[in-house]
Amino acid sequence: MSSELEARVRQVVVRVAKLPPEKQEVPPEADLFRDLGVESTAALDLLLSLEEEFNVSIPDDKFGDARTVRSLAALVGALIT
Amino acid sequence: MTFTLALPKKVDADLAADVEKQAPYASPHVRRLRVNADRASVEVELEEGADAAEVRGKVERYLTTMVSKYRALDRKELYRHERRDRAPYATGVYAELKRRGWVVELGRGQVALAGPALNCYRAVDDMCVALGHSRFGASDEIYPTLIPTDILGRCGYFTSFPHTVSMVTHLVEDFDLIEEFRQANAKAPPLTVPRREALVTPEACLSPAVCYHCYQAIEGRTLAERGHVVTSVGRCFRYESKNITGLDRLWDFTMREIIFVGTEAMVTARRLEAIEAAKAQMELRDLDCTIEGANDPFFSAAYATKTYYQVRSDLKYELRLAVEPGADGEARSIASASFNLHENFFGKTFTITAADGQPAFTGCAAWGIERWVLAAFTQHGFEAARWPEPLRAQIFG
Repeated sequence: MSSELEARVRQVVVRVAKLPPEKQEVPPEADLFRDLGVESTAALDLLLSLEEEFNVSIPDDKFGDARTVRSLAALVGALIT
Repeated sequence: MTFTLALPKKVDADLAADVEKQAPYASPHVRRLRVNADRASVEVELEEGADAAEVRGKVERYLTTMVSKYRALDRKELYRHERRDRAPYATGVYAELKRRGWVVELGRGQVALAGPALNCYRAVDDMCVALGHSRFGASDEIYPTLIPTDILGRCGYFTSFPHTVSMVTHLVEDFDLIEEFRQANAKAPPLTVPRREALVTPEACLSPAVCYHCYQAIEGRTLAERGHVVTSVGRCFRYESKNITGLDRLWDFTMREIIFVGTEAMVTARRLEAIEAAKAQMELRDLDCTIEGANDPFFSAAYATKTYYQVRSDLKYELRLAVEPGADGEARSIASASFNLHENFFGKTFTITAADGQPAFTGCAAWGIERWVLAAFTQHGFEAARWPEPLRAQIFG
């Protein structure tokens, strides 16, 4: 998976979750909700924003299992290829 | 007077039910809101003398906020029990309980219980206490009816459920204002509040749930390997507006909880065990029910986002007991217990550390006891012979 894709996913995460500057690096394997403290209320916004950014339809069950930037990028990558 | 409004988009059955349920909070002038069969529009019935234009604006904003961002998810059904007793449900159960003096209405959403209804209430609570002690080794705690507003605020209650909160105020310590109040209320009710400024901003609320107290009580603690398991019962208060009815939807009701605090693995496993135990309770007490995925009644903008996360993450299951059909003949059930995970939200909020060094996970099993009384009399009727043991002996002696 391209690091470019991860970077784009990371940008969406940072924007939607309104992460403070010190957290914007977002390690690719960090659990967004548990480790980074992304609010649960941001999950739906994150899903809708990723769908818009990459013009894909993301299945809810797969989105539910993808809790890191890396797994989200893998999910999006599989849908756009 | 009625009018029809188009919904921002078509809704599923779950959202339709919640849109109807929360509609009384859009305006006091909404008598009733029904989602039409097409699930694409609603029929709004107004109280007499309402300003239709003003109410329409409020209802439109309410619908837009509830519906626009909502994303439908399938709800899992974990369990279904069908009664061995095939006799029909009793009808007019609440009226019959009142006629027999086993339920006495004391105010809106406030009841007294007596006789077999009280015995049933105790039997259900005893069942939950026994489960807490024998299966989970829970210790007993008792909490206040009041809860500080800053605690509820930290728990996110005012952003998630502001519509149901019951705040406790009192007169400001001011001789003139108290004297004015005293004189204004020297005669018969209703209560008169001569000046709003005589009431202080509430520093406490009536507890809407039992478990918040438990988390507050262990704030800052690091837990041992076995975690922290408590059982407690308390009066809980949720203002249900025009939805207040019978024993189904009281303002002041009783909640028994078993509360789990510990590592993710421990809390997740205990919640599953509680669900399994609930199934066994149903087999023994022979009540028609389901256990299925659910969401809390989040308000306004919190509804779509929090419901999505809660359902998608399997954070809430409800045990729904069947009760008599509604006026339209449709089958009805009421959520009578819930099995909840909160992930590490309360662990972080109250700085509770689990044995693995991580913010503690929390979960709870909660029973709304008056609803069990209603459902049990609906399904087993008023003849003792029809009730299964051990309920029969506990309730009718």
